[in-house]
Amino acid sequence: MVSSIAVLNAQDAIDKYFSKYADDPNFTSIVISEKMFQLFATMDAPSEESGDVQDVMSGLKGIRILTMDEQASEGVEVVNYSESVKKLGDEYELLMSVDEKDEKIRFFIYEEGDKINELFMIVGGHGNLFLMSLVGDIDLAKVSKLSKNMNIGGVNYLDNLDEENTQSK
Amino acid sequence: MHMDSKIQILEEQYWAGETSPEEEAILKRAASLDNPGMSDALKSLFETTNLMATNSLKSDFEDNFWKKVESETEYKGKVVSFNASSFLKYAAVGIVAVAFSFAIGNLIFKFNAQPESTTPAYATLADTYDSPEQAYLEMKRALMFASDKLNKGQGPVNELKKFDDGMNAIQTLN
Repeated sequence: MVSSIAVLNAQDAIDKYFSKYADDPNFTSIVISEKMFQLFATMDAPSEESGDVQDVMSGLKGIRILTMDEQASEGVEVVNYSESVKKLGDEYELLMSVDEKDEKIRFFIYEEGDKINELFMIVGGHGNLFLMSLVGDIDLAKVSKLSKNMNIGGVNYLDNLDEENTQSK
Repeated sequence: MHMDSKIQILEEQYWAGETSPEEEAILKRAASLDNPGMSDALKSLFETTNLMATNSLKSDFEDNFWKKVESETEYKGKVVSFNASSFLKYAAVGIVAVAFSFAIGNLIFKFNAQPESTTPAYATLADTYDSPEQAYLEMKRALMFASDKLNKGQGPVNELKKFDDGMNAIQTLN
């Protein structure tokens, strides 16, 4: 009786609130499924530094990224940063908010009990909109530790994504 | 003849309301004798008046009266009077029955309904990358990006924490 009544979070934030943009050609969509994560475990870690990465990945079940180049989509009516934040449902709790001159960041979490089952990130700025959903058993301390140990600049990811888009076009 | 004309004159006075009790008595006696000088209307009136004067109720009139009254008040059907407490009792039972049926129906519906898929949507979506190595690199970059942004927000918080620790140390020394 209890199991039949219990509702499981079968969808991530992108599925629930941004699914219509997943097939939109103005958006770049990246999906890494649980099956792929299982394959990661069989791979040899490329370097010692990746031990932290493996540690974080071991608890993950999937990742979905949705990103849009607002400049490239000029004139096209698509969702922007503010709208994205408003779209999110009340079941997601705001973890962190960082507003800078050129960039705005929001971290949301979805919790079940004491566990964080999803980390959802919205980044707007530098002409981009970036949505990312990490699903699984998430340890924020471990995620935070990654960039401290590896000292990697954050804007690199979006810049690389722009380059990939340019090359593919 | 003379008597007849006298009776006619008295009758006219009677209808005009001008007769004395003695003259009225003469008219009544003439009516009882069926005097030809009197009109049939007056004769009939006096006859009826005499009957009413002589009429009296029988000794068993009262008993018969109440018997008739009681027989007419006996209803053929059962009389059900409105009782508020009974109505509320039945209404409450009805509401509970409806609510219970609804709850049972809901449970049955949920039980028979297709269970919600516990498979996350992303598990059914096609992976963007065919190669695990490529997917791994992409995953690593995304994690670094998220980590960097997470630390961006934690930075000022950590500075505040240092300030707070310093203040606590000063207070301890004092």
